[in-house]
Amino acid sequence: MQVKQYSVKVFEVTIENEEEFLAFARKNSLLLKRYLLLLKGDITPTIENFLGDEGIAFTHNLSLQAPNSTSFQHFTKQSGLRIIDQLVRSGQEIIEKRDLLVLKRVNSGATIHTDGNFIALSSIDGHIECNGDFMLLKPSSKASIIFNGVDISEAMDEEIFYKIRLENNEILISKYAKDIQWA
Amino acid sequence: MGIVFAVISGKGGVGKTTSSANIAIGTAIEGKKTVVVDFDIGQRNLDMILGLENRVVYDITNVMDGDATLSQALIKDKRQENLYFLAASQTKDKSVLEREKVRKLIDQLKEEFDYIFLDSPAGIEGGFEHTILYADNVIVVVNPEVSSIRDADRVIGLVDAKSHKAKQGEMVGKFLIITRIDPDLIEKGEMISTEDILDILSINLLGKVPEDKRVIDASNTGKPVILHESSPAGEAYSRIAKRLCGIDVPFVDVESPEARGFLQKITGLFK
Repeated sequence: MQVKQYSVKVFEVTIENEEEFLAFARKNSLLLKRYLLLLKGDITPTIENFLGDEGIAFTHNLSLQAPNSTSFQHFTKQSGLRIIDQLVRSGQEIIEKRDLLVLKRVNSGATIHTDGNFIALSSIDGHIECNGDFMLLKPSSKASIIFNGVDISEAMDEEIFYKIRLENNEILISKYAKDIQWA
Repeated sequence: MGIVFAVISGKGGVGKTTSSANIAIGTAIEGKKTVVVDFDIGQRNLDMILGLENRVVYDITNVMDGDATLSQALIKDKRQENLYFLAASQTKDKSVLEREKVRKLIDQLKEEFDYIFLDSPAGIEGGFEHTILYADNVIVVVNPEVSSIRDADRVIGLVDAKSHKAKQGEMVGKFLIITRIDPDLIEKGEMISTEDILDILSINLLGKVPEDKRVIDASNTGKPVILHESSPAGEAYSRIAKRLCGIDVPFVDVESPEARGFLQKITGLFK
């Protein structure tokens, strides 16, 4: 036995009116031949014959699940990622339009400004300005954190990781973890 | 070919010049032909700490301007066979330093000496930049307190950005010395622990030097602490010099009060 796997593009069409569907299928038959049609609704013998004559593959019993779009809606500003794998030292200034992932410490006297989302995996002693929708960071008491123009440093008084997000013009700050566990 | 160490700190008064003098004496004692150069043009101090101030005839600017040869300006320490000193100018200011002249001087020194220590001025202006320009390694001196650490962090960043070696894509060796460690204050939590300093600066630890009143007296009398018997700071500098000469010397606990008690006991024996 031989098994092969393919990825197929599927057009899902709901038939409401036989005439209307046939007109659409005739007009786009060249295009539709390259795809698999998933037909919902009443497949009349006329439609079945037409598709058979045109050589358009179709099915009606295929269960597909569209990706749940709601869970990703907070990350709409994501636009490429810059990774900084060096200590950000006093006097250094990083200005970035994209998302930023900082692996090492951000020391006192250092400045980071990003228009994208911001994630830092080590302690922050410096100054962070983030205009994205999401931040994950561990600020020390020395850090100053500005999120979309609002100084939120005071809201994070423990030295643990905090999750900050912007939702409907509201800033939501929640404790995330003491340390990040890499599974 | 000699190795160039720039001794830097950012903040003033943390013990750069004391460290330069003592470490240079230490490597000379270990048998390395050593020269220590005062780059703090306009504010020379190293000559006094080494007890050589009355022997300065020509200084670094005379050599760079061609008014004196290097061998005329080098002062040989009478106490240490392998130790030489090049003084800073007291009358000029830092603007006399020029990149090309600094390179020429350091090339000359590298040919004659095993170890070259450059005592940097405080701050991050011209004088500092010229000191780190052609350094193979930097020795960063900090005290266990926040402003010193932040300034050290800043100068480490500048070394990575501005030194000739870093610009060629090579790594500049970076070593840390923590000076003026006071066990009482660390115990009370008023000083930052070595662990935290290393975490913040993330460079290699070269040594820890405890607070020692004899350092001040040593500056005044021109006899550096490394030459004193039973000085805790002197012993720490001696260990640092040995480490620089490739000898594996374990780190000594100078931070806990018990350790200080131990040192005091030894001191007591010698009195």
